[in-house]
Amino acid sequence: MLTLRPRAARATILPGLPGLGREETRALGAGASLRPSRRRGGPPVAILVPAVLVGLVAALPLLYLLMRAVEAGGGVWDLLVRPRTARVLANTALLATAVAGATTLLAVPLAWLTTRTDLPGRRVWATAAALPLVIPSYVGALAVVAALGPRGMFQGWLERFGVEKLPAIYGFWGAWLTLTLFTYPYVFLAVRTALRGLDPALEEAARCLNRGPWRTFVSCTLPQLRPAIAAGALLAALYSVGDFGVVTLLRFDAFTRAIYVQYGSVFNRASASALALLLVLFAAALLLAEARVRGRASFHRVGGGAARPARPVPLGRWRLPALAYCAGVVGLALGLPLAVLGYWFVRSLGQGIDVAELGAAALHSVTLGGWTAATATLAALPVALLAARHGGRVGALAERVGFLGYALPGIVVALAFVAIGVRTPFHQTLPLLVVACAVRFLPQAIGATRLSLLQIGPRLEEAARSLGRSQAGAVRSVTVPLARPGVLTGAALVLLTTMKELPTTLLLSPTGYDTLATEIWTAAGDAAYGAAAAPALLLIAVSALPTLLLAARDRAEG
Amino acid sequence: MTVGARIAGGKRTAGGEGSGPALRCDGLVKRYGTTTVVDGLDIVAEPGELVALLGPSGCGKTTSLRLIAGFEELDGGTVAVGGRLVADGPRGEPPERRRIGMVFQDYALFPHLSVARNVAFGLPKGAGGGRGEGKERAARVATALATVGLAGLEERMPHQLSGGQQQRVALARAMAPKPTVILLDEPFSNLDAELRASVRAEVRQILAAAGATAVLVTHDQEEALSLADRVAVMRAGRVLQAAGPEELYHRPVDRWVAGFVGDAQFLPGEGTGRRIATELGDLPAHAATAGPVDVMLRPEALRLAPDTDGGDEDANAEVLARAFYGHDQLLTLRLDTGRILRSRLGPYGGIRPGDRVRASVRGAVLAFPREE
Repeated sequence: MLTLRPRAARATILPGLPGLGREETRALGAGASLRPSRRRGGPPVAILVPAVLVGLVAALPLLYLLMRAVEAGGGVWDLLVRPRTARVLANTALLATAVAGATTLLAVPLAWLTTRTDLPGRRVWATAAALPLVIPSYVGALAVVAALGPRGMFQGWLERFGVEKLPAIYGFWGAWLTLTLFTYPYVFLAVRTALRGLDPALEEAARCLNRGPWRTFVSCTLPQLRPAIAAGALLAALYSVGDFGVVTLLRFDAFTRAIYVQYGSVFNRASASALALLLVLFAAALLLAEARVRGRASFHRVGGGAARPARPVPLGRWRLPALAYCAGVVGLALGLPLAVLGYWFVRSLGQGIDVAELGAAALHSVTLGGWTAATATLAALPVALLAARHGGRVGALAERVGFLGYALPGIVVALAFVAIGVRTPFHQTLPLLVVACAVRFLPQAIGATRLSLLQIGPRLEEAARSLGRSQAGAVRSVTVPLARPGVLTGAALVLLTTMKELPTTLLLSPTGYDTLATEIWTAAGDAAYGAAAAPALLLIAVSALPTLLLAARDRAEG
Repeated sequence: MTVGARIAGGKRTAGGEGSGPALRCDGLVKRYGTTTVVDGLDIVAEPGELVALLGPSGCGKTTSLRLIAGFEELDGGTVAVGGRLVADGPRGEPPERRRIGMVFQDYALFPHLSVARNVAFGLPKGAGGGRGEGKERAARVATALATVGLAGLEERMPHQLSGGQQQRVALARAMAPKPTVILLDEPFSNLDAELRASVRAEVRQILAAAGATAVLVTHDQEEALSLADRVAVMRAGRVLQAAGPEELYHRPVDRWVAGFVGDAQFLPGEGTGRRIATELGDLPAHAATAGPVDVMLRPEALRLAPDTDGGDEDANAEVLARAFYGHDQLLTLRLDTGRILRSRLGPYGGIRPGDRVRASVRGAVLAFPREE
């Protein structure tokens, strides 16, 4: 979920997943009323009808899956109880659990070091530690394969020293390593936010009660961080479950890969749909759990944003090990992919880069992102208005429609729209791809718009009316200018995430409409790392730019 | 009666700024589902008057204000502004046409507009938008800001102002279009205690200087009494008493009002015409009473005379405790009859716990029929 600056920095680096905290809403001044204002007589038809239409389109993938399941009848059951399905389910659960555990172990010390200690360069480390989020996970996977794979960088070097074969990177360990490296920032950011919100007086109280620093951390700080850790870890797990690129490139038989294989090579629609339905249930369960612990996590922000900053813990002789730890994590998650991609990029320079092709792909990516951003933002408007301004059942339902999309992994949306598209004249056209991407990223647009509307609150419009403006005039002179930055940030976020989106683009792109994402994918599939490096670096640069700019502005604003 | 019509029998003319009340609300009713939040509320504010709507939280004061401003729809009753009917039951003019200004509890300053543009927001744009007109607007903004003592801050943004300054910008913005009535919703509750007193006095002075009619909502009895020309005490959606501060304090209509507007203690007595027999002797009454009554005693109406040498035959109480506040002190005493009473004195005189004192009542007293 998004907010106006300065917190937008964090929002921008959270692609495709629910935001990390509700505290933005609370961070507004004491006066701003954030409860939806209830208006009598229900929402106006001019908002309700478009909102219902948007909701229906957003629910299309789910409806499609359910229809398939009903159509297949008992057949679905047979598909679901096959041993292969059980294996895929077990694989996915194992991967999600392992990633959640590893990201927690990796991220909690990092968060503590960058918020509560005198670690040199804390702020730089904090920004750098969050940055791996801008690397699309499939690009990360590509980097891992290009470095450690059978035809990768290290293999090439090691052969000179007589090492014939590295341990295989494919399978569980590769997928686990890659997802851990590129999703730990979810936990990191959640824990960091919680740590900053903790009242240091509690820890001081613990120290006064004769607990040492370590026992204070374990008995006082850690329990308070538990909801934030849980929320972050669940987010990482949710990402792992829905992610397509990593498990497919690293050939680990999790849901998304199984669906793709069923669909792509076997062309078994029924089986793919059954698996997809199961995946959606899996993701929905994680999402619900995340929403619940996140609700509890917000408890810790009761004190509000004005809490006294904690005194940094002096690291003393632990300073060097702490620095090494930060450098190690950031080096692996950020340095390694950049170095690998850079290496292959330089090597590919010798063979000559097809600049025209790269340019065309970039243009396609931007075009697709732009159309999707415009469509999603426009579609989000009526839903966000309902959710923000009309409480009650309709508003709550509208909010849930916005949330639903998070439980629909890209491969599921793509699959459904392919199946729907085949029966329409829009099959293999850009508009269908745009609609599918818009459905996929609608939650981000709704979140951004809804939050900006909530931040404005009904009081300002009332003030405008008491000063002689009509309802429409109040909206024009107050609500629109105030909501604009938030809505535009949401649109920019949709643009960026669409550019990075892989499965939807892969399955729905019109023939010959190559984007940066599909270029990378094709090259990665052929182990043509040199060809993948240039578009991958370009994509990372495009994603990182706004994040870095926002982070810089954050720092400038203090 | 159609909206916009003159009130029947009124002597007001078109334009409405006649000699009648600036604001007149009759029998306002507002229900949410089955709960009645405002239940037959009557308020009148004469031109230039500052009326405070005082009540505990949840008594419907803010809702009343929003009904008057037109942000909520009436379920019954009428609102007239400057003699012009602006709402009659559910039919009413939209807020922008009521000639009512509002200062919100959180000020609701437009965060994207400078101070000057906030204040200019309600000023008429006019048709031409020509140069002279812009000058006139600027002049009105400057005047409004000068009135509230913020000249020179035109180009600041709201977030660059202190709480007290924001408060004054909100007031200037509400006053700039020269509304017939200004409504203030708990305008001082967001200020810290230190600032509150000074801003209160300033606002009072600004409103008085402009001759503005204002209705102020508050739950703070001290604020209501010290600021308002008239105070309407609300409870459960209706006005229990509307009176000047002194009358309200000294002659509340019932025990609840007595206790809400100040510290009230009750002493049983027996009414015999204009005098009431009590444990503290025969007290003169404001009004004739008969039979068992409860006499209201404000702590400051209880005078104490110390019995320094311990020989005072008339000493009738012992001091149990003393809380010294600086500007005054509160003594708890036990009458020889066993009754506990509080007395508020000036900060002088060395009465200490354990001292014997003679307690007596100052002036005439108010009595309510005994409650069983």
